[in-house]
Amino acid sequence: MRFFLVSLVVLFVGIGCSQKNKTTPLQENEIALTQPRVSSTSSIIDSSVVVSAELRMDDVNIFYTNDGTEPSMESTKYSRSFEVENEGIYAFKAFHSLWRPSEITVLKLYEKGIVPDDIKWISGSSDSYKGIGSSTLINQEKASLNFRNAQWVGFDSVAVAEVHFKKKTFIETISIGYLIDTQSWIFPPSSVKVYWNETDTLEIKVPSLQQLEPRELKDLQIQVGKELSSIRIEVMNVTEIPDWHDGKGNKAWLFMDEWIFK
Amino acid sequence: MSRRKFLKQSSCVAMGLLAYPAYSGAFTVNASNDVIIGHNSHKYKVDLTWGDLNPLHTPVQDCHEMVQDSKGRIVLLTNHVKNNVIIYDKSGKLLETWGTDYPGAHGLTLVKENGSDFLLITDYERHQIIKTTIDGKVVFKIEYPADTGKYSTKEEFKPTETTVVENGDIYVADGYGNQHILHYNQKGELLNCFGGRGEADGQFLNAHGICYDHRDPANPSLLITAREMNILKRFNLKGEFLESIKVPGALICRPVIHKKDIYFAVLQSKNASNSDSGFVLIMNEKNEVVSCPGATAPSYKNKKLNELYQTVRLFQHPHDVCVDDDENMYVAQWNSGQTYPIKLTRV
Repeated sequence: MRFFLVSLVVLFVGIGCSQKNKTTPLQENEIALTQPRVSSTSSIIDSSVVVSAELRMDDVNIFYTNDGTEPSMESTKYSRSFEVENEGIYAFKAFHSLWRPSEITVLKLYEKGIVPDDIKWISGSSDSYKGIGSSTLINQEKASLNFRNAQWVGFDSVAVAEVHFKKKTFIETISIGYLIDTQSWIFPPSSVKVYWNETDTLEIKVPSLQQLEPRELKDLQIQVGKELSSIRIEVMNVTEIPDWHDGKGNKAWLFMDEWIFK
Repeated sequence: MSRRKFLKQSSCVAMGLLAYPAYSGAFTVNASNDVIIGHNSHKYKVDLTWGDLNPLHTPVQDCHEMVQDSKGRIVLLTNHVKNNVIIYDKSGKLLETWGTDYPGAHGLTLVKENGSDFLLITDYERHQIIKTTIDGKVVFKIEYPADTGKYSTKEEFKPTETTVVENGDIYVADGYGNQHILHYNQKGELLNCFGGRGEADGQFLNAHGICYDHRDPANPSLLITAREMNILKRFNLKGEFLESIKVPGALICRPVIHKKDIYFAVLQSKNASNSDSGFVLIMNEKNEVVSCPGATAPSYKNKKLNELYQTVRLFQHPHDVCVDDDENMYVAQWNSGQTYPIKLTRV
């Protein structure tokens, strides 16, 4: 009897799938919304910035958090642009009564750092992606997701520079911004080495990617906790594009965004 | 697991569970939530599985372009060399396949001559345009246009699309190559060359698609997409630039004219974080965007189109659309997990 019932269920499931193949229209609850578009007047906060979010579609609601939790329909509902004065991580998610919820869009806001007095480049950037001059990475402006944005500086091997402060300055952390855009052959660095006061060195390895990832602005936080007047930063590119990528074996791109000293 | 596979499996499971106690009622329950995409006059229901075939017997790589032939059949071009051309009926039934020699099969144009159907295939890996009969016999090939002086090697010529005008002349868009538009007569002899890479009015970044616009019989013209620039450009048949129609945010592939409207597959939303952010776009006879299935409703501010972008994760990388004689649409996708075309039924 049990066998008969199981067979009956399997038969109906089979018929259901067969019918679906040619006749059943797609249902709304099978498809997710696209993640919301989030922007801010700046990603680096001097006094305050204004944050906006949208998904231009009828009956969509956007909810957000800034406490590290995933947004739900119980979170704060986004209704209009809002002002932010302190650094933090904001997560936005779109909901609709019929469609599945979106993935999360994350916006990271940084407090303005100490601006170095000079930056001296040891390695050269690509002619096509040289930013807006030698100070692009310390001009207190973050780049957008588009690698053609002028705030990006592109390298095909290594990015090396020395940063100078006129007076000895206590540096707690350094934030190294970079882009992930694997479709455009832009990968995270393999490692970052930092040298200061001629004696101290720190190296941080960056985990390699194992699959195509969505475009994302990322940063690496380096703990320094020392008083210093100059610091040398070396950001190493991956040696070649990994095997799982269409461009395997070719040179990858390394795209550097703002270096923030705090 | 790919999103497409997940959708199929989850929908089958859901349907099976619902079907067991009350099979007939299950469809009624779900019917009210059928996906309807698009806006204004052009709205569609979606059949993701319309073109599905056994991938072991009839595989696809990228599904690049589709046309409907004079018999009403839907002809798909893929760059899978086991079967470059796959021919369906409108219900999605496989009718025949042919073609094993087109590794860079990309552009597909139907040509009607003296009551017979022919196809023009652009192959960017062979650097050629190949004219075939509808059942695959090669009529002639057009090699890279060395005579223009614009190409030092054949590898620089990577044609993506063709169109044929009233007198049989052929125009070719070199969308992955040096961005020229080549004008040939019916025999494949070169007559003219214009365009080229650049951002000026008469130039292109990614001259991906081209079509003959004879909706105004007194002023026939060519519509050519500058995909990376999100612009549709119009030229006269001599190759002189006439106008630009901007479609902010939309990487439009080729223009497809059906009756008075123009249909486009949009490969990606320009500023999306995911690259698989495509949708479909429809313009009316005034070249105004009236519907964007899978994306934001088109809206204009001070006569400028607001940026368009994907709103639901339905399409991945749409690469071409074909509108049939029932006003239904078929969407072929590039780099979408070797999935088969999707059918959109007009509602």
